[in-house]
Amino acid sequence: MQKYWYDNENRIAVSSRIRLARNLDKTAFPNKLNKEDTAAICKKTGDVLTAREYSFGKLHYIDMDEFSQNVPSLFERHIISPEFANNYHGKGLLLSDDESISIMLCEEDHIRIQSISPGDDLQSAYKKAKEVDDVLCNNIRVAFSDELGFLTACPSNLGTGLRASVMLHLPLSESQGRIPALSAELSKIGLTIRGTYGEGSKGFGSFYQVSNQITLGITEENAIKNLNGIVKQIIISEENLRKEAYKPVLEDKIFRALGTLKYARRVNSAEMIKLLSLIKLGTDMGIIKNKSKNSIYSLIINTQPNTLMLNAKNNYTPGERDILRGDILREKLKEVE
Amino acid sequence: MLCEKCGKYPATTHYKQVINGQESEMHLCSRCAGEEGVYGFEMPDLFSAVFGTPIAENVKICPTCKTSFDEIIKSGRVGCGDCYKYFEKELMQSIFGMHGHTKHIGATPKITEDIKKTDNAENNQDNAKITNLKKDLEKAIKEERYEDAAKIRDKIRDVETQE
Ligand SMILES: [Zn+2]
Ligand SMILES: [Zn+2]
Repeated sequence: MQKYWYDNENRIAVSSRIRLARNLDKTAFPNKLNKEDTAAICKKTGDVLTAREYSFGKLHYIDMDEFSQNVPSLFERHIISPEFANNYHGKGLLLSDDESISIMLCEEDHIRIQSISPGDDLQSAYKKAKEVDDVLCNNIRVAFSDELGFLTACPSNLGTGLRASVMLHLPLSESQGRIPALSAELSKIGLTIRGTYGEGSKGFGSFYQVSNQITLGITEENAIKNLNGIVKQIIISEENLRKEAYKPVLEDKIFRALGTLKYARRVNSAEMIKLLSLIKLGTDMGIIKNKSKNSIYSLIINTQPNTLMLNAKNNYTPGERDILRGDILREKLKEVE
Repeated sequence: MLCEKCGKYPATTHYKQVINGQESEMHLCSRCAGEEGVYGFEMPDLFSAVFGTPIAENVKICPTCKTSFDEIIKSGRVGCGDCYKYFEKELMQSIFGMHGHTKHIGATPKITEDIKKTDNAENNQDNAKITNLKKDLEKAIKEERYEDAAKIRDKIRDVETQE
């Protein structure tokens, strides 16, 4: 039994996410609320949503102020948004045991339901999010109008309040220069693609997030179906590029990445993501074998700066962190050949 | 911020380019970004994107959350669900710009018996509050405490508009 969604290796489509934005009716949105009202809303919604058992288990209420040392790691693992990580005082988070469902209370909207499933599986992510949403909407009157749908703090979320996204590992599409053209195609149909790690026009490690932009005038089912269809095409094209790739060059790159991490003494996070991305490509293509229990992607998650320190239960300087990261990667990659 | 190419739609794609060693930033709408074939990073849509500078004469304030239209433009966020009703005219153009639609066709939350019960309970609470406040008001007027009376009137109005 695997605990977290990233415990298994998922090739190309790493994970699928659904986010639903909801607000309480007749109540000012979080940026207009004082401390007392914020606390009251966190409690009210927390009480309703923690009171039952879901198909994925229970939701636990986390008082963010008591959990503050975990905040940077929660952010690195995409459990909370950067906005929430910067402004969490007096707020609450609901989390399932496997961390596949997380609900930020009083982020930009009163309630932000996030659901994640491994691989290319928006349907199951949506099913879980909907389960929580139904409990919410059946017990609390949410801000909704027939014209504009679910009312949200930012008008870009009006309508369904649903943002669906799939994280894709696209090293070949990237190295063949396909991403700009893909980005252009996607924006014509109301979808976007952006790098998962790093900022700016090029992300680290060829991980990309493809998501819908439009939430008004489209049904939940169609938004998911559209994205699904496109994601399938992107996956097929990446698969084809992998098949057509000139093996000696690709193998050389992959084994060099593996060799570096098997022996390196200091590894910073950008290098870690870059090299693990190549190793993941190697295991996904059967060029190298991962006989360990850890997925390659879980190494990326667990050796990011703050998650690394949280696991080690210690604070380190960046220099010390790079040494520790090198140690962990050497150990974990022993059974990757 | 408006698109630097067409000047019509909000710039949602932002990217840096280096020309002759000079770094410059470009901000394009999704359509123009598509045509140019650029891949950039996204920033949150802002209303100011559509409206440019705040409209100085607009001094309307949402009665439910007391947010002014200027604040909405500056932050890109409305203050409550009622803002959409109150500033409907001002916001519709920008909503259409973002989604290409103005009518919701997705799921509708059903009003359950549980919700009706809480609605009634809250209404009863408010009614009780108003009855008490009205008593206070009468008393204040009788005792010629006019400043207090004015404050109580404001409170009654607040409770009533919350409904
Ligand atoms: Zn444009
Ligand atoms: Zn308002």
